[in-house]
Amino acid sequence: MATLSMPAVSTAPVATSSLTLAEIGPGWVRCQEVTAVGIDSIRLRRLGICPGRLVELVGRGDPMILNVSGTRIGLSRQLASFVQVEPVAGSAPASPR
Amino acid sequence: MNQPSAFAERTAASPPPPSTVLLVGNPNVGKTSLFNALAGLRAKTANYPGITVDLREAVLPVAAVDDDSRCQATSDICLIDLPGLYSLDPASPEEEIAARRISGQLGGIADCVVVVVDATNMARTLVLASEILELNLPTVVAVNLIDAAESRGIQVQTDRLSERLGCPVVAVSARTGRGLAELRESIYQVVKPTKPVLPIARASCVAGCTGCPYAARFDWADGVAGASTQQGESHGVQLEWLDRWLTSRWVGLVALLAVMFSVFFLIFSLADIPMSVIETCFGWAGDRIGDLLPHQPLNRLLWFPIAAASSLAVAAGAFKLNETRWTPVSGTLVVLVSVLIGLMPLEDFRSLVIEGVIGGIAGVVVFLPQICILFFFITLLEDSGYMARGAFVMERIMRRVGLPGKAFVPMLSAHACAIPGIMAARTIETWRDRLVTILVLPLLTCSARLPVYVMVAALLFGDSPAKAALMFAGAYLLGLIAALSTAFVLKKTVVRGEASPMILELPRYRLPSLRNAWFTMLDRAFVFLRQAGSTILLISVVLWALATYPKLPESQDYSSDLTRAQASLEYSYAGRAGRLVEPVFAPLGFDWKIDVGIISSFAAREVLVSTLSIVYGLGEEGADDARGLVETLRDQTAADGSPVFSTATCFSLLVFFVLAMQCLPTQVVTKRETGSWKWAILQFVYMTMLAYVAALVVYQTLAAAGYDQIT
Ligand SMILES: Nc1nc2c(ncn2[C@@H]2O[C@H](COP(=O)(O)OP(=O)(O)OP(=O)(O)O)[C@@H](O)[C@H]2O)c(=O)[nH]1
Ligand SMILES: [Mg+2]
Repeated sequence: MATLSMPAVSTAPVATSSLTLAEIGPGWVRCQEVTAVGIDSIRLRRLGICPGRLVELVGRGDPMILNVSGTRIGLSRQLASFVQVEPVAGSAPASPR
Repeated sequence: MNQPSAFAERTAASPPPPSTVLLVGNPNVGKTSLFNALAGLRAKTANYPGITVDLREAVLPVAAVDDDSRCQATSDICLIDLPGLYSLDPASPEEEIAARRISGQLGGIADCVVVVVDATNMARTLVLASEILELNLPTVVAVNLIDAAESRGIQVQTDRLSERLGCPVVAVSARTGRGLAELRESIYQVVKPTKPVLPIARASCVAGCTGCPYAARFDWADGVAGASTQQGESHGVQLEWLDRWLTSRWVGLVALLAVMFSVFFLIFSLADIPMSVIETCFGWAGDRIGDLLPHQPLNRLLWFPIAAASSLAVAAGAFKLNETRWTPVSGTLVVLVSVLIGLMPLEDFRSLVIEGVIGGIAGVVVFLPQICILFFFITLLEDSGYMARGAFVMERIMRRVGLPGKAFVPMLSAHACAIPGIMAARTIETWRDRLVTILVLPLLTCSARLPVYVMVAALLFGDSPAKAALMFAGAYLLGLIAALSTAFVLKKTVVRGEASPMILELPRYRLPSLRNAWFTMLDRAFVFLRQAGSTILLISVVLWALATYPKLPESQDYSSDLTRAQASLEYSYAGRAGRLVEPVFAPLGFDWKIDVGIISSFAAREVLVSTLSIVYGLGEEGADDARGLVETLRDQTAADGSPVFSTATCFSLLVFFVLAMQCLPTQVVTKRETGSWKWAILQFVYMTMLAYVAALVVYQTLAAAGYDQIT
């Protein structure tokens, strides 16, 4: 149960491997940076794809399927390529709801 | 303050305007269901000047649940159902309206905001709540879908949640009605007249955030949700496998086609009976009214006020229905027309009422059953969570031509009628995508085209049902291909750019509610009638006048009523216009009589059949008897002895009607939804040109192959 809140802001990216959501395989990742601008940036962030948050890639493809805070989200590859992520160890860390 | 003084205050002056209460929340958390549960049939569509979004509102009483029910105090509220939104930073026109309404830029600051959150997904739906709470408006949080949460073993501790949020929290279920009384009470406590509406100063929910505010909100919501809910055991979502199939590339597509096919099958099979009932009713009403009208010319002085007043009344009714404002210009026009109508000879008045007004309205209302059924099933599919999967699957295909995946719902609707299709385009977020969708929708085969297709099929393949079916399929396909290619061309020219890439919530599957679908259907049906009904009334009166005036000179004798009707149509403005444009349409193989049909069906394409029936001397009733009409049409020959309705002409006519605009009500709706006549005109011009060129190519090709001599 994630009662303790996670760090609000991603700590300065150490050694940016700059993988994007479009390039990874199924599993959990932590978003590092959203490089989209304007309306696309808002559309991504307000659904919970924002720095510091954990998301799970459920189905690859274009559009792909994500699990963000317990909700399924369909995301086109084009938008996914604006989201830099880092893999997290383990499968489902502390059940991020 | 206590209640007696509140009572005195309220009785002293005129009753205060009801407090406004907004229902706010993420898409699909059950705002509309909650609205329906609270308001029932009191809902009406609110009208804010300058916005096209229909907000539904209802005035209803809310009461304190007192120990002693005799002194229960009540207060009227005006409850408003807002479009769903994810955050106060809007990403679509509807969200912008919702955000502006919440912040008070539209219609003033609300007296109370009810934030609806989803008990089965607290963490994510609370994010918006944090934004609303920071506005320091009087807020109540309604935790909806509590029934679904409990059956999944999720426990929500509303008192703890209330503590964390600093506002009242009520667990409700719009489905079962649980908690509605408490919700009313909480709203009452917030809006009750005595209470000074002071914003409750709240410690900012998301304090000290330096980075991405969204991330901070999500983290905050995670914390609050974690502290106030307990996850049960039976959490497994059993529909995982279904989702995998429905979103997969090929199976998903096949499933979508099957769903679409079933919806159409249901529309066409279920709508048949109500449609013929409506036709009969209007026929009957026409006869009754015809009987009621006096047969002998009455005293002018007596007749004039009656006729003019009834015309004024009809106009006023149409204005009210369409929510048109009376301006000096429109007022004068209506009065002038009413005076003219009062001065009309009785014969003309009768024909205006029966053919113009009743016939015109009947022409729209017959499509109502189809539209109701369509919306009923679409709402069921939307509520179940399937529509988002449909959009997801279509995204792959539609994106290539510059349409968003979400455009498939409007495209589905447009196969019944373009008007609900255009209205359904509101679910598309970005303006560019919505515009392209609206522009190409009328190319899809709507049911008003079917009478024309039926006539052509009978002319060409009267003896072969299989070939006729093939022709129908071809016509549908032609419309679809034309729509997709036009979208592609628009993407390269007028409305440049790509469809905005998809990010779409795929909601959990839920059992849809019939009650909800029923209310939505009634609402949409009313909007359709309002949109199409009043426009059609105007158009039918104008068309009636064009086909009636000028009258034949009295001197001539005609052997029968039919030849008389034929001659008078020829003599009218519509007939003259047909002759005038003959050279334009001659290369498509149309003679002037067909041109009269095309002109008179300019506003509504299904009129073609009845007009052809009149020009070829069968009378209005001839159109009902397809065999009679088709035989007559087949026998028509041009001056050189070749048949008028040759194979080449028939195909050319078919292609023309697949592609041409020929529907004024649709254009009015396009104007309304896009906010300018520019797009409606563009739609008309490109479709007419496309239709003309395609029909020209078809006719000339077939004629070169010798098909213009045979039928
Ligand atoms: N089990 C259950 N289902 C509900 C409840 N409230 C709503 N639903 C269902 O949730 C779905 C969405 O409901 P809507 O009322 O359309 O949601 P909305 O918030 O108005 O959605 P938008 O207008 O798209 O923002 C429908 O399938 C409803 O039947 C509830 O209390 N319990
Ligand atoms: Mg709603």
